[in-house]
Amino acid sequence: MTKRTLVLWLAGFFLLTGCTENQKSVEVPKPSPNQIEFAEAALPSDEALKDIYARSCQSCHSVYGMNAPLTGHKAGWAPRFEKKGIDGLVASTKSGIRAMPAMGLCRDCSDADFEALINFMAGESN
Amino acid sequence: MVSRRNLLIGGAVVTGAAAIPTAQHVNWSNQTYTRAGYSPDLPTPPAGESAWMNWSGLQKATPQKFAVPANVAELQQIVKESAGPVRPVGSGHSFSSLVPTEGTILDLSRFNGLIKSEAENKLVTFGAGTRLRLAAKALNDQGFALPNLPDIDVQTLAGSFATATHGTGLELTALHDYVEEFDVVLANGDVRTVNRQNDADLFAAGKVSLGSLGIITQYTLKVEPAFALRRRVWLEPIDELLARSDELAEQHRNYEFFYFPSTGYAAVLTHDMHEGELSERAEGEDDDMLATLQELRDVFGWSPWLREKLFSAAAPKGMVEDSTDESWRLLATPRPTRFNEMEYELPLETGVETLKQVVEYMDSRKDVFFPMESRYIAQDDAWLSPFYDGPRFSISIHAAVDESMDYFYQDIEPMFRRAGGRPHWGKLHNLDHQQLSTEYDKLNQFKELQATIDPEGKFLNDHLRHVLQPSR
Repeated sequence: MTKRTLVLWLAGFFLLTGCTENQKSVEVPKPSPNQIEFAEAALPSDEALKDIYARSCQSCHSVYGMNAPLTGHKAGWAPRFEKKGIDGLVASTKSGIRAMPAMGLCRDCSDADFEALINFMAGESN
Repeated sequence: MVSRRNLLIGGAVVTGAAAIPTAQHVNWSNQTYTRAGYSPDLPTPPAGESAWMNWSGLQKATPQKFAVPANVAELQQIVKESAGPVRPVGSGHSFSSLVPTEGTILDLSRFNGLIKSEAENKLVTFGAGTRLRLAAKALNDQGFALPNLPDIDVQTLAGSFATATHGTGLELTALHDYVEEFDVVLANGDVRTVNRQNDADLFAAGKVSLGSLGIITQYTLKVEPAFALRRRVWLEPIDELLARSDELAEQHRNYEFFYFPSTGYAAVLTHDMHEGELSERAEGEDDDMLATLQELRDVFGWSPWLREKLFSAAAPKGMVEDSTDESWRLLATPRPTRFNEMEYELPLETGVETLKQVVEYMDSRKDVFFPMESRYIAQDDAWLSPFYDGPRFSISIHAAVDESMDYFYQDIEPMFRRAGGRPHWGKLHNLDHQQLSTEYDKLNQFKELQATIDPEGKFLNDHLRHVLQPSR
């Protein structure tokens, strides 16, 4: 039986309808099963950063299908870096973008925290 | 199976037929769906204050203080020193006005993660700010699982329990029913550990408490050994499905369906216990096919007959999916796109008949397309649980965040109310204390307990006063 499920079809349906309020985000190559598995388990080595990542970022950025760039999926992050740079990505996190709320579920994060978190999510290699 | 080719055929039909110029088509295609007053932006806070909005962007606030306490001592200090209102926030997934305040918003996300595990008793303790998905994953790593999960799993434990959030399953209770004990910081700053034995009333009230009794910092939960499920998904004409819906609910551990307005079809999802090897993990995207479905509304909304025929022609036939996986991976679904939602929990006796009315109404409106979700939930004993006196049938209706939902209140909520429905606490409803107390028999008992332990109403915002207190 195919793994292209109707549940994901529905998820995509919800995703699609988001285009009525937001233009589609940048087109990126689909992550491989290995990259999806890596994102699910990856954690920062720095303990303080790990704590923030786990409570604020992981529930969306570790899950394929959330329309958020996956942790460790460089191809998903590269066009965003290219378009906005790290300062722009920090600014988007603080203001919120699409389904990500303002401050990215980390109201106590500093700009330096956001920068470190983004670099972790974008920089780890699979 | 869902086939990209099948739905692309539909796309071709849409594209081809769209080339037929008709006055109706042109008029329909030129309309906008954006509701009046819609703004995706955060409010601008006064100097020194901060801005907040919920996941859907419908609820907004500029609290004087936004606190993220690191530990119980810090939390006690904040609660004790705050004049109020003090409102806790989880992931901001409630559509109702539970959080907004100009006082203090408390983010409990630092109360996070697995605190302790008593494997022999199947008891685990988590920080109340732990998000459901991460709690489920941590449990799986320990060989345990929550018996059920809701459709969305980014909410915190506290947020989902406090609003009686649930999954589906005629024999499966809502999530708050897993609670065996909780710690709560009361309005005077005292911490109390509450369980069924030491304070039966506060325990029954506190499991679903809308954050109105105090700030819960941790929960001890009864869990199950980790288990796997077999998921089956198919499309079925809604009339045929509703004729056997209660039967399917009895046959399957988890059973739910999504109706697609103005198509005549529902997607049916069932989960049953599975032992043995797991199949390859389900994955995939069908955005190109989904574009066809949105086009059905945008292009063919003016012709319900054509819209339904086009969907029927493009819809996959037979079993769409038959797969197996760990329970926590199958029960919830990523929902990246924001929407607003109303949900009512109806008696089983009136549920399906009411859904028929709602389906007929939705089909008569040419402008809606978001799927409607229907689920079954078992009885529990929390005072403010919609399920405290018996199982219920749940109907959820959705609208894109930028589209109108006036009809939720004007046309659909009266149908739910006539059927004896109770609103989901975290979703949109328009009921005041008097109306709610006719459906929630224990609401006045809850209100009296709340007034006893927090006489000044430190944890009440305007919405909660509207819900808990008779209008003056």
